[in-house]
Amino acid sequence: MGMQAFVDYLERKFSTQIASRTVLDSSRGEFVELPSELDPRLASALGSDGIDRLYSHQAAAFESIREPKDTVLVSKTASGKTLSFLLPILHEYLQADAPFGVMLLYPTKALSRDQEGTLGRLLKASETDVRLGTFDGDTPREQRTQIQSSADFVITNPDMLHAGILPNHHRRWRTFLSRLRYIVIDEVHTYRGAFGSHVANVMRRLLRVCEMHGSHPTFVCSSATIGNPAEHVRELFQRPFNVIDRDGAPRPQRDLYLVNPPVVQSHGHALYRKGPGSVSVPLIREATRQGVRTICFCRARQQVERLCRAVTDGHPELRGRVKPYRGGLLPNERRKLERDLAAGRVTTIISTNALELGIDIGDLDLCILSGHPGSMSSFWQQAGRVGRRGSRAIIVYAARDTPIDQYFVNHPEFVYSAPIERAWLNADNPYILLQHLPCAAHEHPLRDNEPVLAKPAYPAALDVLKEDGSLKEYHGNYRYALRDYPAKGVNLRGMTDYNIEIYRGTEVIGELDPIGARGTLYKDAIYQHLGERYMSMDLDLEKKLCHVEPVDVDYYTEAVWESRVTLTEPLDRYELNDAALEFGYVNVNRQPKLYKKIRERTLENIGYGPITLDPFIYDTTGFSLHPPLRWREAVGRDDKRHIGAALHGLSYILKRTAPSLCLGDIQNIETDVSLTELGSGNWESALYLYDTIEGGVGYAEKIFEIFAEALQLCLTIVDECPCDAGCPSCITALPPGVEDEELEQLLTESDASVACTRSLLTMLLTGEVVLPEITFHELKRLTPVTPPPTDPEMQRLKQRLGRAGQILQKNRARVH
Amino acid sequence: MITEALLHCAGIGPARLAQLHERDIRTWADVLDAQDCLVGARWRRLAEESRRCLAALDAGEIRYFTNRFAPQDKWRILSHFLDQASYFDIETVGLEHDAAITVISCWHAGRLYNFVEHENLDEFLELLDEIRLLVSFNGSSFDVPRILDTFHIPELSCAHLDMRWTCFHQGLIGGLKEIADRAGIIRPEDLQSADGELAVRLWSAWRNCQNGAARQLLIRYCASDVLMLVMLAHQQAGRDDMSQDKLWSHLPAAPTTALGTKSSSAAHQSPDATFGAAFESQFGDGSPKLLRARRSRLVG
Repeated sequence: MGMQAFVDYLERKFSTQIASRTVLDSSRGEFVELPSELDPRLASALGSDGIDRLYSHQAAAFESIREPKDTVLVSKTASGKTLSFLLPILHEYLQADAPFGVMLLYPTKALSRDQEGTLGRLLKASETDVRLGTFDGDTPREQRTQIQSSADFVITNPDMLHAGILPNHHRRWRTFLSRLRYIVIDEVHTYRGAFGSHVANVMRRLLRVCEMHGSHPTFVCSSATIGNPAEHVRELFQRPFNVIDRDGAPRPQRDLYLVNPPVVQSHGHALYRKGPGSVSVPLIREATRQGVRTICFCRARQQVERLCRAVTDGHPELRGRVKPYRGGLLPNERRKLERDLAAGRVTTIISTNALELGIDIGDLDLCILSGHPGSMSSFWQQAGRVGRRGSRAIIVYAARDTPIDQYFVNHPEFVYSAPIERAWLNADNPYILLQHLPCAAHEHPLRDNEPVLAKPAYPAALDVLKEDGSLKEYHGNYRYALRDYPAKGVNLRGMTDYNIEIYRGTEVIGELDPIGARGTLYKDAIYQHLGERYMSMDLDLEKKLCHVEPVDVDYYTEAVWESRVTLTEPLDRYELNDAALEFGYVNVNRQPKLYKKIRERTLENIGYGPITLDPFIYDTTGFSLHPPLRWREAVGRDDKRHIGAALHGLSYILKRTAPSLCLGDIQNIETDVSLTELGSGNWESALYLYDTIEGGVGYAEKIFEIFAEALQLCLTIVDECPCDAGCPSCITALPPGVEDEELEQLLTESDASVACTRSLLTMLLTGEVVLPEITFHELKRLTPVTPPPTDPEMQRLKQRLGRAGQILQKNRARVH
Repeated sequence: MITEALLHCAGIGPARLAQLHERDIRTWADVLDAQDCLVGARWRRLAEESRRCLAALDAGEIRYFTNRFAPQDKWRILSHFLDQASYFDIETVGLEHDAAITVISCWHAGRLYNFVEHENLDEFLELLDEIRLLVSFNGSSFDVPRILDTFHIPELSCAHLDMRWTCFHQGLIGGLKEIADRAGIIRPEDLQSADGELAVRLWSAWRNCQNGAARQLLIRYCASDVLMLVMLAHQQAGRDDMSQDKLWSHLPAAPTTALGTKSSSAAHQSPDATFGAAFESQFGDGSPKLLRARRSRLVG
């Protein structure tokens, strides 16, 4: 088969670089007959699609949903998830005397549009006259009325539900809500942390309104693999769920290759590791030539564009078949790509994690991960993109030169042993609950006892709102007493709720959130879009637009951020074994200061430029930790860097441990080691932990309160981790954020980060100074691989041919 | 007579009603008396409904009638419960369907009550608790939803009757001022040309320029609509115990100071013209449409 030829190429070309090959679990799949009671129209629709039996999990879902039980399906991408929940619902819809309502929630608009197509096809195939509509911010006004009054299947997102549907429940949405029978929530794992806590409250409001209109809908959710799916949905919807997590879809053999690019010697004789592009570029070219359908994941949007360019430069024949796919493309561009991919015109797609969610792009054979995606959950989502049709699939992981990637590539067993992240949320988070109660009261006066709102948080929050006059008693209940529209002031996703539009002349070519824009669209930045290079002429954050013009340069730009954290107003403080902890308002100041021009391919730094944008400032809540003086002096006597090592190590593990204690998402909190001026000229580094949501949502506050518990948990994790000298699961050797070069050297050459952090943890927990015992690694002599000498003659010939080819192509284009 | 309302009963249309009248069955009591000679499910239901109506009348459940009566019969509710009726009207910041309330005027138990946003608007809810039958003009599609949305309450605590439709079924078609004119109700001179548009401008003058005269005139305008409604209701019910003069005496006095900021003689001009000048000095030659657009931007 074609795949074997590709495997041969891979193993030949990278024979010295493949660190390991793991065969992932394969399965032949578990199948069962179509349920006998299945509506004949559906059975024949499935039959014409070639489906005459179901995967076991689809059948289990059919049983469970029909009962009806609140059901959550935990499955990998591409295991017939849509069919799992749609089949029982459609079956019931066809058999029901009167049509009922089904609400389908997707986390993003792109996903909604994609699913509308998929759903529409399935509905059409079953030859039913199902009225389906997508109701979100993009729905034209005249269509809205029609959807409100007549649609049975409504696709929407939590934000629209919160600000558009619930506030109008008693007028325009009354009919739909009163006959709502199913609420389908796809990609439920994305609702975690602060966003999840918001969505949990939106769901409470929805259930309250449904009860008012006499409907009792059943929840049907699907989740990607996370550490705690059952617990997560129970927290999110405040009710028990039937969990279906046995995946009956067949899995072909999937080979995971961990590839570590070689260490080479640069002109300056320094050793450096080649980038993941040295693996992905030749692989993509070969795969495209062989027609192997490929997806390559990168971490950032501009990386996607750069990789795409690197692949097609000098290979114009690949240009039509290799395409970038990322957020920030316009919807029609994105849809065209999806169509081209489905039709086989495009065989390779280079993507950000935008494609991690369930957008249907069909069957793929090769998945390249350009570096670690950040979480194990993402890793499995991305790897799960390939191998659905039963033919062999390949996953190639190209490591970057970062500690986490290097650990991963050198410990292949970590793929299975690393715990998959858990999702946390707290529906009763006081900050978030207080934002949703006014919305709920606006929808319908609140009663003293609301079944969906739990004690003791609800009555306490009610008192606060009565006190400040937002709620007033009316006939024994509490009505919203202000005149505004409370849902408008509550943004479920944090601070960015608008986009910067990118103009070329008068045409909008893309959009980007304002924080991303600061880092990639500052004046003179190079912005790549679908393989074209543009230069930003002017970024206007006030007017929310950016003008770009096409340029022809061979470099890209990268912003260097500077951040400063200051505790502006202390509210509370205490001492823990002589360490000072101070909680209060924190000012975060992040600013891109300058940009680097980096030549493509060689990655040389070819210049700098200033960025003159206002800093991105926000106030939030957080706390600082100053290690005890005793410890500081004792440890610093040996080596001053040990203090820094301990703080950075603690910062790393605390950030990853805290979410489980404050029930937030890892993105909702940030830790930072920052210098603080104590007296005049007396600087001391301290550890900061703060909420990343403007105003704070109480995560740092919670950790501040139970700091000893958090430390104990950190220590347990470090003690119980089977690794020798630190790993990404406990404390990585070189935590991100270390800027000092001497410290960096210490950390990479020894187990200092674990040893010093352990010393600090012991000090904070017991008050005992235990000096860290640091072991230096025996340095493996890295043998440089000298790249084969390039034949200048050949090189010139190739260039000439390339140019001639381009001229010929242009001529041809002119002639035709 | 309220007891003659039979059209809302299931199975009774104009033709069957005429048949009943032929047999001299006119009231609920007649239906119950004639029960012996009436057979079949339809008649059973008619008797059942008549019994319920009588019970509701006994208990004074006005809402039972406002919720059930056929539109053609609703005027009977007004005639019967005229002494318990309270009348109200609202003004809003704009002419859109979701514009915020600025002033509420309410005639209740022989007194006029006025409520102004940012001052005492919420107290209207307390008054509402005393009211048994609330009468409006065009309230079912405008005033009542605005009240529910403004105070965020799910429903009115009393029965509501929209006189626009009782008038309509009596052949009086059009706006309140039009109908009042035809009924011979004469408004005070300074309010002759006032309309909803003016109310919007007056509110903006009060809020933006602290023009107290504008506020006074706005309340006077709103109250005059309510008083006209009271007069119209009494006329329709055939009662003449409410003389126009007596009612108009409840109207708040016209502002004595000038509306416009500059000339004091403007008070004697038509308020519209006076106000137009003040308005223009503030907004340039902003047309009402522009004003509306500007306002929706402000609100949005």
